Amino acid sequence: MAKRFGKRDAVFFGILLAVLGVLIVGFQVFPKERGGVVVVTVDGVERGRFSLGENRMVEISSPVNQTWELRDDVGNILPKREDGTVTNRMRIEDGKVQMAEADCPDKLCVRHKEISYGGETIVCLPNRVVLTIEAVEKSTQDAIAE
Amino acid sequence: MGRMKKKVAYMGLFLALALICSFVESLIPIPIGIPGIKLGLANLVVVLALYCIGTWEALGISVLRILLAGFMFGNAFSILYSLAGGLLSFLVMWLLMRFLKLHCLSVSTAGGIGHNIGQLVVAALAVENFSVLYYVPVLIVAGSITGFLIGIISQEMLLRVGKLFSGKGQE
Repeated sequence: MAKRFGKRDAVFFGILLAVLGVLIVGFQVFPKERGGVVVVTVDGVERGRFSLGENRMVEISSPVNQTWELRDDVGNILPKREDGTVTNRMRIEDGKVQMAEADCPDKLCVRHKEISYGGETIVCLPNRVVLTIEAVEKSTQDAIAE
Repeated sequence: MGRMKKKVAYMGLFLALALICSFVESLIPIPIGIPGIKLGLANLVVVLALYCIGTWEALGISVLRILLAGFMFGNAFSILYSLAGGLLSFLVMWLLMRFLKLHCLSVSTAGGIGHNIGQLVVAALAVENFSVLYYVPVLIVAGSITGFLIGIISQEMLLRVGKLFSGKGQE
């Protein structure tokens, strides 16, 4: 007769609960730092940093060879661009960053919630674009160093 | 009916079930705001196959499910994400089942975590930016919860229908 639960399973869940506990407590203990700038990278290379203090729309073009169809928000197929670039549009508003538009096929980046705390990221894997928030402290240090 | 024929028939049945699960899942929105978190209904079928049919058969069902569901309801990138998640999840589940002899509740929970981590790692590698790994803790917690829920269902199903199969995985 099959059993539901054994001693080994109890050990497994004990370890798992301990790990989850540490993760959850860790998240509560370390306060989230308000972000200062958003860093845009394409293919792992930094392309620009933008202050969260200024509301704006940023267009990010990446030189990706399109092997897929470009689609708009409602799924219509768009004509391919001749220069082979793809585009994401990032919206900075009230200190928060959101991917407003993307011509990637899966739109996971557009569905991502807005980000505003240090360390948070939005990834658009097809277009290889990553938005990362940097905390205030680090950005001021960078500014001083520069 | 011969053993081999029986196995093939079961695999077809499980694959069909897994595809239905993928479809149902694609209809359920999860409004957490971090893409990649989902219930993992199809993993239910993979866990059952792992315990009821066999390792290679379960792996085959998992990979075929991902490819077919990707062609039908997804795209090349959803296949990439799912394959990474599915393979890591399968490896973790198989190791825990084979060597630690854990029951399917634990195996499924670990599989849920493995799935999420696999997806995140492939995303980080593909965009060559490891800041994505910021979400590892969130995804571990989410994977534990979804994997646990799937584990409860598969455990109850195993207790009820497990004996219909060749006896593999029944202790």
